[in-house]
Amino acid sequence: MIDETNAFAKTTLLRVESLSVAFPKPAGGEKTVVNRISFSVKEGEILGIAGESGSGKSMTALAVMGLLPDNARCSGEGIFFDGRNLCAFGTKAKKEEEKLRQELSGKEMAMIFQEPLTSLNPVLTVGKQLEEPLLLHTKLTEEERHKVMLSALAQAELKNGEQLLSAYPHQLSGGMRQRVMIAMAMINKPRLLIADEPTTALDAVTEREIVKLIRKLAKENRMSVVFISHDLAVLRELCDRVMIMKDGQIVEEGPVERIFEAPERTYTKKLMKAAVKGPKEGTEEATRSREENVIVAENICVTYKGTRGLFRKKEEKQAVKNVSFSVKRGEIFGIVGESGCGKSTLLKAVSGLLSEYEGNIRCDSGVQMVFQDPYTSLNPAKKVGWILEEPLRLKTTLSKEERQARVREMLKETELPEDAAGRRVAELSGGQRQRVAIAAALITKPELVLLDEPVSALDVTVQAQILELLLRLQREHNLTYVFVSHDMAVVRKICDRVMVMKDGCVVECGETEELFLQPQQEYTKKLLG
Amino acid sequence: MAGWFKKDGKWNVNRIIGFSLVVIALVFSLVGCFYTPYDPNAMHGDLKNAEPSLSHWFGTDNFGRDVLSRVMKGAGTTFLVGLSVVSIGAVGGCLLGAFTGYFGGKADLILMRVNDAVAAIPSILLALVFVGIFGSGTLQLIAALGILFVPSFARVVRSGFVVQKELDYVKNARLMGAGHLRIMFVHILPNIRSSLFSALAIGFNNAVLSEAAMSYLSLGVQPPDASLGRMLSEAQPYFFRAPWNALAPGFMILFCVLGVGLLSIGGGESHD
Repeated sequence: MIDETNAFAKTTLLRVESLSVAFPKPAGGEKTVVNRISFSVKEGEILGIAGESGSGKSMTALAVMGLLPDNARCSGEGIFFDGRNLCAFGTKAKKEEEKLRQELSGKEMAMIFQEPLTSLNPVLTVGKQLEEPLLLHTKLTEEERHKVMLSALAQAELKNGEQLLSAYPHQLSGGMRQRVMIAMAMINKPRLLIADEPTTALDAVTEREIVKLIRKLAKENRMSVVFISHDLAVLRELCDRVMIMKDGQIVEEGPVERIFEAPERTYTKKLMKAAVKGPKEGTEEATRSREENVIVAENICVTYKGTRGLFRKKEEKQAVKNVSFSVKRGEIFGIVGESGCGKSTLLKAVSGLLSEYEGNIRCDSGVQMVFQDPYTSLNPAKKVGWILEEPLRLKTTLSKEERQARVREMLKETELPEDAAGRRVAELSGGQRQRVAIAAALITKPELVLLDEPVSALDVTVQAQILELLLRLQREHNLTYVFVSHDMAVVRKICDRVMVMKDGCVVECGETEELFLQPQQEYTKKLLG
Repeated sequence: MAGWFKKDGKWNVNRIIGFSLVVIALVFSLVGCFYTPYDPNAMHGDLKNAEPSLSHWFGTDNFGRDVLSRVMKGAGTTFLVGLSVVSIGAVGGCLLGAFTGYFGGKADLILMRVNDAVAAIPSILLALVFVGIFGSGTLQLIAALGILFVPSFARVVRSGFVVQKELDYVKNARLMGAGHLRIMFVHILPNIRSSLFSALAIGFNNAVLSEAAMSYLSLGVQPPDASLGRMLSEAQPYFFRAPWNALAPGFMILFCVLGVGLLSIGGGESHD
């Protein structure tokens, strides 16, 4: 962290003056997503922009990079990069502006995005994509380019550079892809890096490594960074200065310690409070009457056989190796681990979605499941009422009126508006969608619910609300949850017992607080950070 | 209704023009089912290739038949053939594409290769073979073209199913206890309607053009019945002496194909 006086001595690299971004509404008129905001970034400074989805933080970044969608209307006094106005909002010739952008993008300014799988071109090798900014902005020979590419990969802490250059994006893990993106952004040693939620799609361990890497690269190269995230913990670790946004406006701005230790605005305080932390409340009382096992799984092994085409060889991958566990009635059982550790596969085997496994699973109850992404787990072509009625149509003999009465009851219980039944999923927010998914899982009154990362795709404040809802429903109906997550804080808050997994194996399993306070294994300690 | 023609507050020009053209074509053919100014097959020896006039708006053909009446009647036949062909193709293609896309596996590989093989042969050529075996006529034409239209729909539906079946809502439906057929046709199918709609529009246009081509080759609708392609074929020898014989059915095909095409473009834009 840099102290104030030092920071003032530096020159301003990026200055945004009363920037507004608006989109036309289908019914006519405009919706303003960024409302006259001004801020600046000094040389070598890391500025964090925090806020919930819809706060305009991504649109601000896209406006700076000149990547706004075509129908966006951008206005204001200007976006100044090193004293040059990038965006004069119509007062300068469009062509001139574009030329300046082309000259700067990829050389002086670079950007990394949230989803490294879609931001890398799937049909080109890493080498080809890494070479592109060099071809566009430098006059290096082929050997020199090769050398620069290898050093960029090494700088992003990627091993086996030579092999990587000929690899395709789908052959890499999420963390490696994001490192490749960073190497690509850094290859021309830009003076400004804009990172839009670059760690959101990654698991906790990889996230921490990427954050450290960005900080190291920024300090080594005296590069300014604008880092956008909804994760306050990440911003606290990384940034020098933080800006909180809400509804297109800046709520509060200041050095990272001040914002986190003495927030002034109520919204900032609310945001800090919403961040899930601390142990579960009232654990003692919940432990009573937990005798009966609902799930007993013994020696579960799952092997994926990839059948790829008529003539190609089968590939085998062992996703779950000899895992045994049991879940008692009325408890919340957590399964944690990095992505790819086999936790979701294990859940699929328990739910019955996956029938090809070895070992024994005894499950004494009907199973319902809530998935991570409420954007894909609810049928987008149907209305909420239809989605909620469907399980009743399939599993019960209730009449239409009875089904609709049950739907209304369930909407009330999940705190959804009564008219939600007549709306399409697309008209709902992420949190509302997840409520619908929970309602659909609980409407047939199952005893056991499998939750596959149910809050990972949500904003912090919404996350807290959904967790509260889940806990309340569990208490009221004495439900049993199996809760899969990569977020240790969420697991600590909600689970009674936790099982830690790595590479398909169980690392450790025990009561939540015991495990968090005295982890026995090295890997668990690493996960806890 | 006005909202349907607007997007982000601006007029959706494609949709407006497309809609107008289709309405013109539809009005012509629907009225033709119940009323035509003259009997479309009645010949008048003294009125051969008469120029357009107040009594015969689009003139008369080489047999002295009223071109307007024949276009009205013929458009009906052509649209009927087009709709039937697309329906057969769409239903067959949906079934085939849904099963292969949803279940995958070897059956999928084999069926899709057969599909490719059928698609690789020009459809007119295959229709010729079909008509050669089963004889010519409107029904045979519909059957032949209908079967030939199955592969293109199957491919569109299959690719939609391959994407959709991996999504969590399908897993959710399975956990609820929905059967495969219910998942395929109640849960997944509505989600690929936008690509299905554009396939329908393109398919309808191709069907209309194929009908015209087959009838032009005297292998579809048989004389004296009118169809747009048949009329084009009959007008060919007199094109320079009596161009209205060809222009009237030609513009009718143009209106219809262009209209449906613009409607599907306009529809696609509003889906985004």
